[in-house]
Amino acid sequence: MQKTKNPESKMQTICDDKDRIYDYMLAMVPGVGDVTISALMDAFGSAKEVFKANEKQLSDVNGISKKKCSEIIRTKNAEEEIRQKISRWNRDGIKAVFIHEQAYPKQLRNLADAPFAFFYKGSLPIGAAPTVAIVGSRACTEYGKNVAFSFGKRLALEGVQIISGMAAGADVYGHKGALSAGGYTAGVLGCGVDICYPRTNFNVYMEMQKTGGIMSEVIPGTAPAPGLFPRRNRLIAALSDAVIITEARLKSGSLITADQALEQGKDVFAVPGRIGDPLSMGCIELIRQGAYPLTCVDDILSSEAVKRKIKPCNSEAYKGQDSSDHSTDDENVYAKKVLKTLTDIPKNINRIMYEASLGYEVTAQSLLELELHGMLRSVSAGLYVRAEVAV
Amino acid sequence: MYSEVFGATFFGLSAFLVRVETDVGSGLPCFEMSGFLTNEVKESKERVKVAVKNSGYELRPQRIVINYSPADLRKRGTGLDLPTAMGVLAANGITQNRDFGNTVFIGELGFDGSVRGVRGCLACLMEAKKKGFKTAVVPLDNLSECHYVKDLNIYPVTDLKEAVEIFSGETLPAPPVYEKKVFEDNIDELPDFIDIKGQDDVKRATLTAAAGMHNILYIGSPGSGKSMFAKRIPSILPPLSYEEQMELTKIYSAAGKLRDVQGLLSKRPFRSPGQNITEPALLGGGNSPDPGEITLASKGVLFLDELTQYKMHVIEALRQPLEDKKITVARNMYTITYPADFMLVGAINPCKCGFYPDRGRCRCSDIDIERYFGRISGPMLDRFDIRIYTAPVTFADMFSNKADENVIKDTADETEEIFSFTSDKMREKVCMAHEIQLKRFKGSGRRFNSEMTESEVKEYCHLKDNEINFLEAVFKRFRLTARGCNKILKTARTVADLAGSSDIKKSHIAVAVGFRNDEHISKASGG
Ligand SMILES: [Zn+2]
Repeated sequence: MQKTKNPESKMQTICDDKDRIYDYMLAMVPGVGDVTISALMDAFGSAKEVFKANEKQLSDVNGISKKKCSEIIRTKNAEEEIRQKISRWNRDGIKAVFIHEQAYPKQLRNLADAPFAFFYKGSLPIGAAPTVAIVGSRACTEYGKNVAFSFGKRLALEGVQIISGMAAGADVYGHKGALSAGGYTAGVLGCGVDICYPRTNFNVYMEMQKTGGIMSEVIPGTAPAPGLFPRRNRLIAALSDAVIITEARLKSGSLITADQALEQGKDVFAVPGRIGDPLSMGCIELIRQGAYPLTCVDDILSSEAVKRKIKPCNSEAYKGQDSSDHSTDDENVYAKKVLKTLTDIPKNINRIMYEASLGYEVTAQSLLELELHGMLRSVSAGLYVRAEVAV
Repeated sequence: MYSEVFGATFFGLSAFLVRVETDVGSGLPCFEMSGFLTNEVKESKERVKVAVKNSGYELRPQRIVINYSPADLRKRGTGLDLPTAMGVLAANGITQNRDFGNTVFIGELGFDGSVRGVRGCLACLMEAKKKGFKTAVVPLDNLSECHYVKDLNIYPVTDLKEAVEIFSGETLPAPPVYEKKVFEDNIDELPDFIDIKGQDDVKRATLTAAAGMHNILYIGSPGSGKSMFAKRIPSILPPLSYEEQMELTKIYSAAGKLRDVQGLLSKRPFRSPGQNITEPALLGGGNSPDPGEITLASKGVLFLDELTQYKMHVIEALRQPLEDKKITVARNMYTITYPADFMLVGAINPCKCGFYPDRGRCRCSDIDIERYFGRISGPMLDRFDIRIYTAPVTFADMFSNKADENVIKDTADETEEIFSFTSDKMREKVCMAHEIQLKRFKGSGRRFNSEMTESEVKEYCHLKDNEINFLEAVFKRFRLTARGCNKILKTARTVADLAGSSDIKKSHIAVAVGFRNDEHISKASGG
């Protein structure tokens, strides 16, 4: 399943390189974070040497407390246990890449607090390919979902890798859009990569492992905790060339991601929403502060950060839906009338039948057929929107 | 001296006759009763003694022994007061005519000698008639439910004295004649669907639910009219037949809930128990084996507003009676089966805050929504064939009659007949659909599409190739279960019946799918 062309494939498992076990062990010492690991690596040169060191040598390193010292020694003694754990991970398709390895995403190295270990399932994004993050409010509007989906799809068709956090709302619709176009899309989680959080996104979680990736800086098995998510956002920004904010309230997590992206020197695109809608105010504020207003897919494609990585390719891929169905002509006429009434604003069947001047049963049938063909989405609450925004 | 008088008592919905044998003799004064009696009956001793005295009958001190038979059946209720008193008086020779063999006495006594109404009177009289009794003496309070029992001479009384006087002559006086009220179908007194503006899809879903007796769940924000819809369902169900009225009156009589009714119950019940209802109160049983809300809702609607607010084990307990259409209540003292043939109507907010999908106001995440729906189990949600979202009423809906007319006019010229949703019109449609189903299921023991077994679904929901392909696409797209698919077919059968179509067409399937909201609900309930 794994494409062999990926450079990291050689170093994926500990079987290939005996000393990788020490990297894993170092990443797993409780209470020892990336800063400490960095100090240790500077002092000893490799993880293997760290575990060879005695207590005295360890505590000579700046920032190594007595407690950390004993944790390192305890981890050393648990080597066999950790080996078993890692072979279980390998069996489950969980891999890791470490900061001193070649396969480690270059984009992350620029971070001041780059993670020592980066765990993933599926494959890592390719640094040379254009990469865009799509993030937004979890409790988003149907409009927000459509925007995320449409940009995910259109950009994926242009060969852009889509990164997001697999959260409910905008995130998952960005992933879905990319998946629908058969593109690469990666979810950066705030918990272990073996945990599907939120559970509702299980299908996307499984799909992404096939054609994209699931990744996280925390050790597999780590449960989602509130503190982990803001840190995760800096990784999303780091992996991307540009960041799209679809919808955000003022003072929301999405704005933190935007701030981090700006700090990292990334382009930030905000979708200008409707004034007066609380879910648009965050984006409007971003634009006021100088973010690019995002109105169509070309806004992204022509931005410097993305344009230089784009290869002229997939443009022919955007084709209409093939209709291999058994509908009569009449049915098609009704379906067209119904489709015309749909927008991003959710409408229920009463409204639609009124606007399309059709009867209830015919309208119901048309709606269902359109849904089966992916031309509309029935959002919760018996409301319908068109499936995509023309972007 | 010895006397023999008949009374009657009931257990659950079935009554049985009780032979009251009284012997008075000399000896130390006492009053003894035997024959498997509950406390209510044992306590009648005092009521009887005082009532007899206060009715002006002087009894000398004597030894009174009373036996109630058959001895193996437990006797409950206060209705045996009157036969006990009559037995004592007869044994003392106070009544002239002592041939009580054809007469059954029912009534509770007050200390002042008054005869008061009792529960289960109708069931008792029906049993008496069956056993060949010719005459009944009943409390005047119970008259309304009783004079529908044909071929039984009924003497209503207000006190013990009146009862005694009936038997004072050589022969019985002619029984009073009462004009039997023609049972009316008083739909006019019920709230009408005409009061609800707009929301035609919800009206249509409600119509379909009533037509196939499908359980229906309304999902919507506070103020979107969920309970308005529910309350109007009885107004579109067909009138009750005479037999159904008798059946229902019997239930309410046994439950002691006939106080305000004149004559038989002619309205379909609408029961909406509060959210703190207990399992015995809902299902029936408890210390005394009374029918529960599900039995009181028979032939009508059991409405559970804000479903998530009920104790979940109570809601889950509804699953079995919903399948069986009856409930068996077993305690160590008894086992009773009551009918529970009701339509379940539920209402629920779309999320915890109640405003989803209005994202301007609702900040619930998908997980919050999942958790909210998750309070109700998947199998329970599955019992609702129809799950319809009620959109909040818009300003235009409230104030514009014109908008409604426009909808009807515009839709009519293209595809469908004009239909306006008034209770009258909707009821006509429901009656028509019920008739079609009656014919369809004749002799099978089933009456409605919602009750179809798997094999009956195969037989009666036969699809043509085109429709099979369509359903298959739906099946795959929404990841339906076989069970969910069957539910859709049952509802589609009803939609087709309402349209007067013998075939189930694609559009009927589409309407049923739209009424089911399978994807959203199963996603929300985590199933
Ligand atoms: Zn909410």
